[in-house]
Amino acid sequence: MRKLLPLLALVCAMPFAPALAQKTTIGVSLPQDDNPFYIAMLRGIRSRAQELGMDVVTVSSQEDKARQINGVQDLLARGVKGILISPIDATGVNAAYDAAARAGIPIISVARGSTSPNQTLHVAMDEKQIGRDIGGRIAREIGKGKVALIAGPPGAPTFKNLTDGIKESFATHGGIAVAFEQYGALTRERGLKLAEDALTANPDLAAIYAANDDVALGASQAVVAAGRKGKVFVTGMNGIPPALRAVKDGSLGLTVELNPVTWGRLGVDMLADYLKGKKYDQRVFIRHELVDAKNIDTKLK
Amino acid sequence: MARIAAFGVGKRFGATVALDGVDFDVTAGEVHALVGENGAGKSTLIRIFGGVQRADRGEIRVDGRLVHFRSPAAAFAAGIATIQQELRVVPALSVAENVMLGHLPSRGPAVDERRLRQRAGEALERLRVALDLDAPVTQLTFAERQAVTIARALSRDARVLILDEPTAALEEREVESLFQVIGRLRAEGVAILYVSHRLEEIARIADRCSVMRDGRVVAEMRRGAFVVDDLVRHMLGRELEPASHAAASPGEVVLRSPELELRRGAITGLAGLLGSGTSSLLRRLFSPPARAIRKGIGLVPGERAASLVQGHSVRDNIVLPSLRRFGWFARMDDRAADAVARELIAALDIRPGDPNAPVGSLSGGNQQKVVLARWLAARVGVLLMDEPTQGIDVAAKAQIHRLMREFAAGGGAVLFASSELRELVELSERIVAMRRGHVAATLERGRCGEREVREAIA
Amino acid sequence: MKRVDVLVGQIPLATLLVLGATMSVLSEHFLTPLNLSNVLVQSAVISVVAMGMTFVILAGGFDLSVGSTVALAGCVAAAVMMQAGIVAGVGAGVAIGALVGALNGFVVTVLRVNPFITTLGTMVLVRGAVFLFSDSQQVPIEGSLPQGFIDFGVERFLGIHWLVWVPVVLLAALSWVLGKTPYGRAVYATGGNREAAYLSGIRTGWIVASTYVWSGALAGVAGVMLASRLQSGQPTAGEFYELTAIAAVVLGGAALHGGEGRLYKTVIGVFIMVVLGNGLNLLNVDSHWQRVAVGLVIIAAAAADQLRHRR
Repeated sequence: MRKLLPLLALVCAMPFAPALAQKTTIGVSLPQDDNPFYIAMLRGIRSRAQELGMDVVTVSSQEDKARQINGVQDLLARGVKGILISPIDATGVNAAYDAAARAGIPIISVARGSTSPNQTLHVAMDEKQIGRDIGGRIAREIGKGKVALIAGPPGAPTFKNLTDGIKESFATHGGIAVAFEQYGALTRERGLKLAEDALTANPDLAAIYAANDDVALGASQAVVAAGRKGKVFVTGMNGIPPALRAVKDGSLGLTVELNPVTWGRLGVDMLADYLKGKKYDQRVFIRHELVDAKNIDTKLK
Repeated sequence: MARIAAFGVGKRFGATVALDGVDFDVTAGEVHALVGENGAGKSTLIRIFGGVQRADRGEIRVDGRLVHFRSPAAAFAAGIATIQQELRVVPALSVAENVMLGHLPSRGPAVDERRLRQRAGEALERLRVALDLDAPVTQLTFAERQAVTIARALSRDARVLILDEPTAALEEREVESLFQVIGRLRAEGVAILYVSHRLEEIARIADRCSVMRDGRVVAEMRRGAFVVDDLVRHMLGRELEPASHAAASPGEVVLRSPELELRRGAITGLAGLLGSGTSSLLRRLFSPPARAIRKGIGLVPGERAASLVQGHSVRDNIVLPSLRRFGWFARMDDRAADAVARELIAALDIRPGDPNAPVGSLSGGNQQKVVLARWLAARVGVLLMDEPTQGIDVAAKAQIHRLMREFAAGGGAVLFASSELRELVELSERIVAMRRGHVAATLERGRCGEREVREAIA
Repeated sequence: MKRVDVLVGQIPLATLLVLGATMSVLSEHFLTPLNLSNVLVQSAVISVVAMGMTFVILAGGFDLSVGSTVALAGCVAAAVMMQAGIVAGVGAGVAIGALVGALNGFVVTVLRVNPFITTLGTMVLVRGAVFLFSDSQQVPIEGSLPQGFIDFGVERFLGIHWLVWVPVVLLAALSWVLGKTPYGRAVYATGGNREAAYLSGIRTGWIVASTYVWSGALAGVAGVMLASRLQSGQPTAGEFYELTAIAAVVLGGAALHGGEGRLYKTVIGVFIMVVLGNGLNLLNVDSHWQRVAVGLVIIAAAAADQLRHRR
């Protein structure tokens, strides 16, 4: 065993040794590996990093906070120059930020953010504003009536902020009642099932807000099955291709394009600027765009 | 004065009256034996003494004081220890730890190893049993584990010791040392309640013997005032018919192995001490089971737990080995299965006679008959039986013996292992004696008495 | 004693009726034809999964991999369907499910790994495989599944969704297999006392392995059904199905240690879970409270299982 140890160490170090010697390496820790949104974001990070001549190492966390903290510590141990993180929630992985601060390494939150004072900066989407925009669009569409909210996982501040923004805008319009509100997983099946129940409990439902496109596509299916296509306005978010097609054929009222690829690129740019010593803001918002029947043709190529 | 006493104790389970006004007591320094057929109420009575169940009416007194045990732990704390047939030992722990289980001496948060060994050693010393205190309990023989559980009771100052069939799984030599232990504890003033089916033992060891039948105590006799036949008469409420030998002449060989050969129409006995390899020989002859059954061989294993699906009905248990005859995905002929089961239930006098009754609700003897019935249903020609009459009552035992003889008389071959020499000698045409995994001797009828067999296996 | 057993045997049905009655009092929408039809459709997929789980649990095993298998079968079925048509797609979905089951059966019976650990492993493994296979996106990402397949998830026969007929037919056929064939008896006997079944000449290894194949194949059927309902193969589909299915089996009064239980009671167990979720949704009860309610129901059912076997 003792003879094997040096050999083992050599084998482990080999793939990384040249990289560390030559280029700036940045570390990336995202909440999920298998979510299309984060896959696209990582694609953006990698392409921008390549353009800037940086190397990227990733660690996976699969929505497990302890794993994310450990992952960040591993990145620090490897000597990365900066970290891009999308924290699983706003407080649960603060230890990762503390560790980065102790090592004197910048740590930038992308998409999801943290309350940690050690967060260098946050490349965010303006969740409240997106919520207000969706809510305003729903209000203009239906005038008055009942709305169902099929929100995202409980505990994630993003989804809370979105629904808060929506409710805020409903309050300014008046005449709109939230008749149904449930938090849970972001799957198409759940969107379908909850929309079925919401439509049964409220036959006069006028709109359904869904937390993302998968949920929205499920909900729109329930609307079509209930024979109420065109009468119930369904909204999604993220702008994945099947959702864009659904907007085109009218079964989905709108989706919000966030473009995770640009998001990832912006994160790398902010980190590069920081490393060069440029001035920065604590919070940078990524642009968002509502996609509906009016502008859908520009989005579908 | 009585150490422990029951006055007018009654207990029913649903419609079944288990105990019907039982008076019973054990005094200090006395061995009081309790006998009766399965279902007579012995188990219920000792479960009530042990705090496992509560009486519906009547009272239990310990040293004259009225007690109401709410749990086995409460009874144990009051000095009443029950040594069950299935011994309660923790395999992962050492001998000393098992002796002191439940009240390990501690110093601060840690176990005090020194006092643990000292007190465990004292308890075993009282029994004059020499065991390695640090040995894992898994390395012990059954008799040694039994000593460990008795020592555990003594370490808690048990003043009433309830022994439930303590000799059922012991070799004769071990029975002797157990009796010596019992004698010593009696001399120390421990009150001993002794439950056993082995009436000869009781005649030897008991100061007093009570017979239960149908939830009542029907007879109580002092030492010297009873012989085995009296006990049997009281237990059954009638005379037991004497066993008769069927004189069949053995036919051709139906099963041959390096160790032995079995012939049609013959009963062969398999003698050997625990661990001598009788059980594993039977298992080997029956391996793999599916193929053995196709060749017309059936096995009645030693542990009934291993042979019956307790939650399932008598019928389902009887047809189990015959299932493949129906074709795996063919529709099963329920009426045919029912008819087979009913016929065998009648032939073997299985009670209750309801094929739909869960087999777990039957007494030990009747369960054993169900195991036999399944091989008769499968029409096997060779029956391998491991301790077929262990732990079942006298009447059922006689019935099983009769069935074995009838099976042989009908052209079947029987090979049965038993630790009861008398049974072996009475039933067998020939006895194969085993020692340390090998055949030590083969004894023909007429030239083998209990003494010869005992010598052959020792 | 007997009468008590008969009463205990009806606890699942009684629970469902009480639950249904309560919901219909609390919500005017519960007893409407539309909602009852929703409840049936929402139960259809998970019923098929739970029936497979019943096979495994009856034989004394456990299968955590069914949820992942549902997703895998749905994605594989959708992908194959795009190339080779509906029949080939459905066949591929069911076959891949059976294959996962066979893998479970092999590891459990030949390598003798504890079923809980084995299927925990395949659960994670298969979920990973789905994401690799589908590139973490719905299948197909462009275009749509054959119209006939999509219609199957929407259309009705005799006023009832085609999707609901699947578990109806399977329940009838599989109840016959379990209750009336020697194979079924062997499954019960193996779960009731494996040693006794083995010594009675039953090849218990094969029996146990076969129940995992049933479970995998039925999860495959469920995956295909779900793909039809969601009009796509979804890599995230079937999450927590294993837990819902196990809860349904327990709610249906089957013994967790095997040997006891009825297929139709498992389906009643599924209805209890679905009606509870559906009713609470109709009442717009907070999703956190819904979880609390479901958890309590599962614990109550497991406690009932214990009480029954203590006697």
